[in-house]
Formats: sequence, C-alpha cells, structure tokens
Amino acid sequence: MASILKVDDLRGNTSAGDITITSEGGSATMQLQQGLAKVWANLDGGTNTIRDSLNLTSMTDLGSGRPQIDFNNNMNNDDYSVPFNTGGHNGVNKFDSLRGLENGDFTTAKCSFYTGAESNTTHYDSSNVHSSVFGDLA
Amino acid sequence: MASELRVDTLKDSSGNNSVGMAYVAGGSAKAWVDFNGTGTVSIDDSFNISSADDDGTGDYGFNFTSNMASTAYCPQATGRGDTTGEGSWCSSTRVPATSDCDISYFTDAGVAQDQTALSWSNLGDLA
Repeated sequence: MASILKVDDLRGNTSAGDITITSEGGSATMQLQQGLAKVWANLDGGTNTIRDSLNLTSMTDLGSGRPQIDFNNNMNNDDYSVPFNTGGHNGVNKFDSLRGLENGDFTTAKCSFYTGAESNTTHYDSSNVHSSVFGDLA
Repeated sequence: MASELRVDTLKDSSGNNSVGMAYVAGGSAKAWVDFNGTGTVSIDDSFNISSADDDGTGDYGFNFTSNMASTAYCPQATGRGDTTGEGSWCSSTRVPATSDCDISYFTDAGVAQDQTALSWSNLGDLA
C-alpha cells in the first residue's frame, strides 16, 4: 500500500541537518541533504534572463560571456561544486562553449562563469547556461 | 535513538509540492567535489569521495566511498584552467567504473591542462 507523508519541514532526529536515505541498490546509505542541489539555474546569457531556477535571487551581467548567479540563501563556505555547461551563441548551437569558472568571484553569496565559442579565446554570451550548485547551505 | 520512516511520497502540509521518494533518491547527487588540481592536488570539499588521483596533467580520478550500481551514471564537470578562468575549454569524462570516475581537461588547442578549480558531480544509482 502506498504511503504519503504530508510535512513542511524535514529534520533529522539525532541531528537536524542529517537525514539518511537508502540507496537504489539497497546496499548503501547516503545523507539526503548532501546529495541535494542547493541551486540550479537555466539562464539566457544573451538577454540576461533566468528561465527557471532554484534558490536564485537574480543574475548579473559582468560583461560579454560573464554571467553571475546570485543566491537567495547563501552557501556555508566557498568550497562548493558548480558543474555547468553552456551552448548557443547568436542562435548557433556550439556544443562545446564551456569556458570555466571565474576566479575571485566565487563567494558564499554568488559565483560566475566564463562562456565562449568553440576554439576561440574570446568570451561570448551563451543563450543556454545550465548550472547547479552542490555543497553546504549556511 | 535512530528512527526510520518508510514512505512513498512526500507532500507539504497543504498537500501540494508532491515528490515521490524515487525522485528524492534518484534525483540526488551521489557524489560531488570541489577540487584543486594544481601542484599537490587537494579536495576542498566533497560528498561520497574517498580520495582523488592525479593521473597526469589535467587528468584526475575520483574514488567513491560508496560505489555506484553500474557504470551508466551521469557525471558533470567544469573547471578553471588559469587565474582568469580561460583555457578550461574542454572536459571529458572517460573510463567510468562503479568505484571511480576519471576526467581530463584541455586548453582551447587541445593540450592537457591542470585546473586551479574543478567542480564535478555525479547523478545515478548507488549500489
């Protein structure tokens, strides 16, 4: 019989920030909070718009090919993981327009990226920037 | 005392925002890492990573604490090739195993390059 739990706030019993779930294969357990994305974003770096997101207040245009995402709830430190990918420049899909993380602007409240076009060191706005953040919320 | 709750679906108290436990478990990252890949490589923070390997210039491996159920998982990554962020052009995940995952980084010209900052995460099924 299927069961449904209606609740607004989930907390660990022993430690509020530690809830364990069993793996899909059943042979391991993992901490629920650590596996959850704390931020995700689907951005248009050309028009500087957020199509959809989780835990973002805004995005900031730092210049050509330099989108910044601003968190709603801050991270606990700057040691978080930000895998992202990009694609599309002036309507042309360029699958490998990944450039990298921007140095010096990686804080508990925000982070930024460089995006560009293939085989070119110039930064270009990307029409599709997909990013997520894994780590510890404050 | 530890307690265990067995439930199929989570909803808020209004009955909205329903999510099945399969999505909670399946949609959670099974590993992630923030990593410094220059000099003596080091893990800044991570989840379900027991250690990292420096396999050569721009070539790294991440070893899982709890193994994946199969090699059909979904790793994602990006990086910073130098102090300005330029040059971390391409990253490719290769040779996945249930116990570890390797990744390589290159410059625009396809030359292997160490990463001053590396973000990597993995979705899929744990064993």
